[in-house]
Amino acid sequence: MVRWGMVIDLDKCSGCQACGVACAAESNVAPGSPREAWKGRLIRWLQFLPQAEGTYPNVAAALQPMMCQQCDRPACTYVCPVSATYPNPQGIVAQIYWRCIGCRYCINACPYTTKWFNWWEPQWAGNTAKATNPDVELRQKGISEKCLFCSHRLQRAKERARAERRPLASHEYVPACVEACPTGAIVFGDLEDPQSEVSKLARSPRAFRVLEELGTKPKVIYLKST
Amino acid sequence: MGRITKVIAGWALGLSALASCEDKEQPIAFPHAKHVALKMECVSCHTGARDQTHAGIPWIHSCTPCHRLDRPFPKTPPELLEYINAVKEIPWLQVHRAPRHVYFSHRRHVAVAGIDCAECHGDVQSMDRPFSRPMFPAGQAGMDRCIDCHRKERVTTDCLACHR
Amino acid sequence: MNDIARPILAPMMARPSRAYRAVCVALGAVLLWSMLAWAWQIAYGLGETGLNTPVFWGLYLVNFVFFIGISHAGTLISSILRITDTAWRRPFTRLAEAITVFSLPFGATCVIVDLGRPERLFNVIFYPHFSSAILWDVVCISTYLITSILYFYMALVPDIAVCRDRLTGASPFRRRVYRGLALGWEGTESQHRMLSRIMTGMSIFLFALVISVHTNVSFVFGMTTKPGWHTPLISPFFVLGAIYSGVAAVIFFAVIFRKIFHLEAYLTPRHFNSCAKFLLALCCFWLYAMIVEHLYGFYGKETAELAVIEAKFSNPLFWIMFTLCFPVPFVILAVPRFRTIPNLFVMSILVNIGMWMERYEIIITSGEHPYLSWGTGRYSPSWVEWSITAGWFAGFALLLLIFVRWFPALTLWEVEEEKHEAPATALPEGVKA
Repeated sequence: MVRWGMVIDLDKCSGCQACGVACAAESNVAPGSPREAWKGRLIRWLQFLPQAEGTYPNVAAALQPMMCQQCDRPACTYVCPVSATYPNPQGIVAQIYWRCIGCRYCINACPYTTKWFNWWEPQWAGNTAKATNPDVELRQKGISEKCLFCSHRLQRAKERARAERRPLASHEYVPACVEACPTGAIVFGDLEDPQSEVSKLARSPRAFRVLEELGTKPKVIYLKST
Repeated sequence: MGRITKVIAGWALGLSALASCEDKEQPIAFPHAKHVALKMECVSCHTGARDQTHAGIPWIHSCTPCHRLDRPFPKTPPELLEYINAVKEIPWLQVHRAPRHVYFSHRRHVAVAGIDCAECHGDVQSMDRPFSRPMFPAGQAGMDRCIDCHRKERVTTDCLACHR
Repeated sequence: MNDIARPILAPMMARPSRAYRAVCVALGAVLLWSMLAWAWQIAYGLGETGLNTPVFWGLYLVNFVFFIGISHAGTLISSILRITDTAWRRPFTRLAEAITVFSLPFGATCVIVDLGRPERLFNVIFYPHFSSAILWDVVCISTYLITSILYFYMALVPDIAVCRDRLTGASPFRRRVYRGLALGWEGTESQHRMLSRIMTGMSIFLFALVISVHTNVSFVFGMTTKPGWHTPLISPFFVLGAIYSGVAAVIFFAVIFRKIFHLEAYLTPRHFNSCAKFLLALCCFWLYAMIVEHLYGFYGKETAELAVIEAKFSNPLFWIMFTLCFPVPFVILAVPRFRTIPNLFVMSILVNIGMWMERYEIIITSGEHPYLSWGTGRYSPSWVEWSITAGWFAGFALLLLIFVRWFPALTLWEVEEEKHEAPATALPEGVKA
């Protein structure tokens, strides 16, 4: 069984935020308005956690890209009263928008605060709603949403491979943020396969997971900057 | 509990069906039956059915190879002739439409799973006119229907496989 | 019988005073306004509230916990004290049960108001996920609502029969209601025996239910990983706080109805005194739980947990809450000289404000301080949230006011029992004749 995971090398990350832009474009995340930003209601599936490194006077600021951490033992899925969010067999923590009742229990349970709530109907200026990615639903008000590791790309890739009667090659399924990263800091693949680049990197001594002590076992693994 | 669910779901579906019940008037009374009788395959006109997400609605150049003025057979009805002469697309109305939150791919079902078109679309080969409303054998194409078949065929019932 | 029922039944038949009608109309208007606010919120989305990205739960959840909390007093006073056969409970039981029954629907609807998609509420029943505390909340609270309505109604049956027999001047519709609801109660020996058997059985069941319901309410918070919420202490503390604010609410309404219906002969200072002592114990327990909870946080020395505690302690609201919940009521309750009815009335208001603020502190402060540092945010409720809060409180009060005009505010048959046992109650507390 595959277990999709991701490694983000903070040494290679330049903090350019291209992954965030790619993510928003791929996943139809509405740009949001100044009013929403002011209210603290912007939705960004991929956010950047500001980190200060080093001690004074040698301080460096860094941005740590953070999306849904796709935990193996997600705190959010246990609490959903309607199973709108659940870990699927490939290890992707799913979110089914049409099942969600909008109670925000999952968001409160998530220690990373990387789930988002649609406080208002997402606003698409002019005709931009028609220019969105047809593979991803346009969300509506009153539901929560989050990064799904671009699972629609997995569906596409699987379908293509099956139609051509061959196994899925791991390079066929790559989330948008990985694709956009100019420095190759984000690596994606199957964590179960010991030969894959991602699982090799995950075994690196620099590897750590955010809030590891909570036992949520995220599948987004970071490599400490040295 | 299941029964209550079904009653309420059925009631809701019924209401929505009532609301979307008005028949669409197609521009030409295309006889599916005649074409199938001539050993034409579904995919020769609905070209995307085998290898794309959407089966597609035929364009005018699907008609022109056969419907030619210089041929006595097949007969070209005058309303079709108009479109052919003007090289204008026939304004077919899309009848079957998967909701946006559902990822329904024809390729998955036709090319990968090898399901016959009639399994979902019914007895199209005896229809003497195009679809004017969504029709599926044995009622609506709701999620229950998808799940029933997926269970029977032992394919994935993971929500994320079809919902997005 | 006559002399007990007459002063209680008399105001029910009198024309409602102008003040009563004015209050009812005002409360009704506030409730109506809150419905409009809710409609507004449904139309435009939860963006109309003051909630934002780290603070996902706000005033609605505060009200939810508060209303469910005060509903427990009712059950506690009438069931636990009924099981233990505490004498002073008798004039309070009806009011306490009424508070339970009328606050519960408002508590339960708070959660529905909080939903982003209230029309999908029934997904909880159609597609239940059994590890979710919210699902069990729905189960618990609906069980609780049904049981407490039944319990309330059972205790009401003999009194409805009194109304049916005595209020011959009532309108035909009202008499028909009494006749129907009295279920043919004749007051025979066997009927009384059956009633007391039902009441005892239900009391025991309700006692267990009260504890489990509020524990479940606390699970909604405690079962997340949020700093400040994720502690096993939250459950007993919630139950305790619920009973504390609930008993105060019973005193509050008892004083009001005593005044309106001139029940001085039945709700004597002695009753209030006993109730106040009970509250004093709860007050001390509350302080204990408060200290223990924060000590745990301090000794754990977890960064995120400490951030929440620090935020609480540096917030003047917390200290106002603390003053209202402990020092003020403690002084009033502990010093016998201060235990007068007007004092208790003021104190009951303060305690309830304090307990409401305590819930606010718990829910909002943790919301504002999630684990990761980006999330610190501020929350201030919007007009929609305040309107709905006001409306829910108004609706609760309105239901109570309407109720006491239709049905006796005291449990006549229990008060009557007390009169018969007069020698026993004259003895010092705790001594059985």
